[in-house]
Amino acid sequence: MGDLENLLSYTYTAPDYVENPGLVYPTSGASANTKGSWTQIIASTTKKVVALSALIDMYGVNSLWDIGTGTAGSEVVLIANVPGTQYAMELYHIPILIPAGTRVAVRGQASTASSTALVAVNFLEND
Amino acid sequence: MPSIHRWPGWPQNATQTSESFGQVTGTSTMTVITTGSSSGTKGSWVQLAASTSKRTTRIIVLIGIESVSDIFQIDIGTGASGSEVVLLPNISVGYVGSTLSAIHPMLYEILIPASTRIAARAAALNNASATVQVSIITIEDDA
Repeated sequence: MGDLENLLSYTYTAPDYVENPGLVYPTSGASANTKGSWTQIIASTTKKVVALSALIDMYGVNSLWDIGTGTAGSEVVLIANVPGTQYAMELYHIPILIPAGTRVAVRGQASTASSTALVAVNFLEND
Repeated sequence: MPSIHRWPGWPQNATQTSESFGQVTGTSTMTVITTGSSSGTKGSWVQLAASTSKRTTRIIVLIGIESVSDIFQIDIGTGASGSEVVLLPNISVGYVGSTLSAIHPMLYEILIPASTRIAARAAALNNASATVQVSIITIEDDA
């Protein structure tokens, strides 16, 4: 990559829109420490996502959560194994680009089978 | 049209991916790192990533205190085993708790070349040979 292209790749645009699709309650796998099914967070992002803020709340067990994109049944992991802990709500700010119009989902595993978490994601977006 | 200015953290022209290192899927936890054999000293380096796939532009360091109430200082380093160089020194977290009670996520905007090995080591200010859990998430692109 040339110097000019490299410079242009670092032109930054601030988010000007925050999309909050509401709470979801994914359940971990039917066996301990195995991934459960995908739960949709948002059917289609309105604009280009430049970062997401994710709250994960699961009481009494350790857990790892994947955030994925794609149509139902064909999700691809975008961010793998975001950890949760036993006695605290974890809030993560993750700056990563996601194209507009993308479906986003979450799935997780926990040290106890079939444990349900509360997950809330704010998508920071711009055009 | 949104305002455009240089604000680290919001790249526009990259296709980004992420990689996660140090999470232990068998227990739904993270890599356990033991602090030095005396209080306030760093323990041995523990590998988190053998080799990153692409250039890292941001790294999220996830630190979980699991059994000791103390102030922990974590170094993130790069390089071959035995030749690690500190990249992020003395990331400090503290907590009173037990059984991996809380995770401290720290976001750093820093470039790390592709194919880099990443490791961590830790010290506890008031305890010897204490344990702390660490993992990382790297945000990467193709540039």
